[in-house]
Amino acid sequence: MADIRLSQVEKRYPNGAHAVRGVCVDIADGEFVVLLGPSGCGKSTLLRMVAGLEEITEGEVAIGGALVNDVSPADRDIAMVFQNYALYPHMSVFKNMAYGLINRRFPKEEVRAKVEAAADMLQLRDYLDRRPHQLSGGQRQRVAMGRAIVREPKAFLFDEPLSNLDAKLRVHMRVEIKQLQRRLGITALYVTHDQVEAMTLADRLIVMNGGVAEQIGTPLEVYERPASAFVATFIGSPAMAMLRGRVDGGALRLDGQPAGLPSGALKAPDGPVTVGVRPEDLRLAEDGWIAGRIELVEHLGADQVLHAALDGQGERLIARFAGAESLPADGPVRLAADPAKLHLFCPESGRRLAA
Amino acid sequence: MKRAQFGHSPIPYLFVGPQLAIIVVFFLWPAGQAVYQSFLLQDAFGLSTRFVWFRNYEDTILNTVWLESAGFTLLFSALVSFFSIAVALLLAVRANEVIHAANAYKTLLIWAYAVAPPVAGLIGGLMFNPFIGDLYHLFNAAGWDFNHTRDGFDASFMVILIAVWKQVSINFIFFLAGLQGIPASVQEAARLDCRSDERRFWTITFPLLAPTSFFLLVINVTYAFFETFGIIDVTTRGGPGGATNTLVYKVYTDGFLGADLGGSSAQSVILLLMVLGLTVLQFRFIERKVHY
Ligand SMILES: Nc1ncnc2c1ncn2[C@@H]1O[C@H](COP(=O)(O)OP(=O)(O)OP(=O)(O)O)[C@@H](O)[C@H]1O
Ligand SMILES: [Mg+2]
Repeated sequence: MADIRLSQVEKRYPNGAHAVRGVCVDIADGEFVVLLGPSGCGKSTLLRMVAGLEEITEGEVAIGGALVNDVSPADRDIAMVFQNYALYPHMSVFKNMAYGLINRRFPKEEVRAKVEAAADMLQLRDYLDRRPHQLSGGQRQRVAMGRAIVREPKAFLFDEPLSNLDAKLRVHMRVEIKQLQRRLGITALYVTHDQVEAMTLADRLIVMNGGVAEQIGTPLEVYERPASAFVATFIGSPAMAMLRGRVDGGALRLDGQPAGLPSGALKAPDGPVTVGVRPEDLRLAEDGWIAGRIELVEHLGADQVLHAALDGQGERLIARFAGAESLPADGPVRLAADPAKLHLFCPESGRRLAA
Repeated sequence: MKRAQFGHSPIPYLFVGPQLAIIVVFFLWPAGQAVYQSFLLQDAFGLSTRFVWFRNYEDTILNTVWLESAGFTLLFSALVSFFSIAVALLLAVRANEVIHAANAYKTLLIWAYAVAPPVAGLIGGLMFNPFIGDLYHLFNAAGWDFNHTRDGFDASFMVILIAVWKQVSINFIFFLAGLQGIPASVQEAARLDCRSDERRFWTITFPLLAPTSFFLLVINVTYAFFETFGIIDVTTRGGPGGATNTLVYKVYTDGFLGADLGGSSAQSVILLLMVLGLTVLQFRFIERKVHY
């Protein structure tokens, strides 16, 4: 058990790809941190640098207070669970779990006791003599977990460990991983591009984009105060609507029309802004300041989802309403949102404006 | 289990026909001829032929020259197979780790594959030529009184070296393919579990290469027994004094140069049985340890 500290970590691959750019984060002892981001944003690269499988081009990685930049993976005392599980195909389940312990010269009885304890915890007791190819996907996943926990490492590293499982098993294993990590109190760094997985597992989220950590915070912070337009649209489903507007003396204008918000409602400097509104923060209003045409209404039982094309902007937005109030299937529509629920971003940098 | 059966049609036989014809004409028929010949004794001029049952076999096995040749062949095959496999494995593992200019290394290592055994023998013969051979001079300059035309050990050393050099490249290709078939993530998981490179090689990489190694063992033993003929024919011709006379080469010299068809046929039948026996042994005792 230990904390993990990354300072100004950079990764440039030999072919010139700049995969990770200046990532700084302190992961506390026992914390569960999830790395989230679109494909190719450098999540795996960052995780693999912590594991020692990838060289650190610049910056420092410390585990438990000790700098590990030049420490070999086996000496970092971390365990990793791979997307394809990476079990040793020629070894039994028992040997798979025992291999790391045997190499660390644990006495035989202790190895057996530890492996059996882990097998009990993961309901693998009946499969210890089998080979990986004789197991189902979920069982293989559990063996991979078992291989990680028997060593009682300082930290767990997960690279999309659930993405090869079907939806139901994924939910089940997600809960199991979280409970296991809580019970063992081991620091965890978990890579995923599944938002739900990220939101439910994380104590803290790192949202990455193009090698940069765009935002680091609790899932709720990230959802409620996204630090950039990228984070705002990436987190939340359906995605947040983004409108082009201007702030003029604290009042918002869309397409030159005043948005009808009380002046001084927005604490942003004058100039162009991107206005973000979550689908659930929009409501229908006769005199609403967002005008558009309905393109499609989806009835999801508990919710209805409205897709609209905005007048004058060429943008689309999605609004979500609870309940079953009857919506017209097409025609013009006017929507409004509480000024406190608006997210303002700088159109150039995409950074959040103080609001 | 019940398999689906389709109505029989003659077309499949048409497709396997040419292959069967080749096997019959070029393997079964000559093999049958050899077995038949091995029971016959001809006089020196080929005028009369007698059926002598197992006389030719008795003569062969009791002959000290044949026994020496058999001993040399076994040792030669063991050394050639072992070193071809070991060197190729070492090179493949190393080449697989190279990141920069990896393809250049690999191509250079594979290149010798295109060389036929007699050509390999020719190249080797030149390298060891007492007048212009670089290796010949190198060994002598290094203080080894090397002369393969007079010394049996030196000659054996030379043919083994050439035979291994010729075979390493093909083994290398198979090992490289085998190594690339091991998932990178399995190797990475092992790097987290095991610090020592050497231990990781013997516990993860080598067992996962076992199917490849086993296949190569069978192929290499056959190579050492039969295909090295070309190398020996162009370098030592079995000499000096029969020191490098492998069984195949002896079959050839006795049968075609010595015109002892019966004895030579008996020798080739024995040789065939030896290789067959060795292959069966390999499958029985080594294949069991291989996990596919
Ligand atoms: N070995 C490599 N050599 C060169 N470039 C690489 C290498 N591995 C990854 N990259 C590049 O680095 C960037 C980040 O890759 P990485 O695997 O970390 O993405 P990721 O966020 O894990 O994506 P995914 O969700 O698809 O797994 C990508 O642009 C990729 O092309
Ligand atoms: Mg990845």
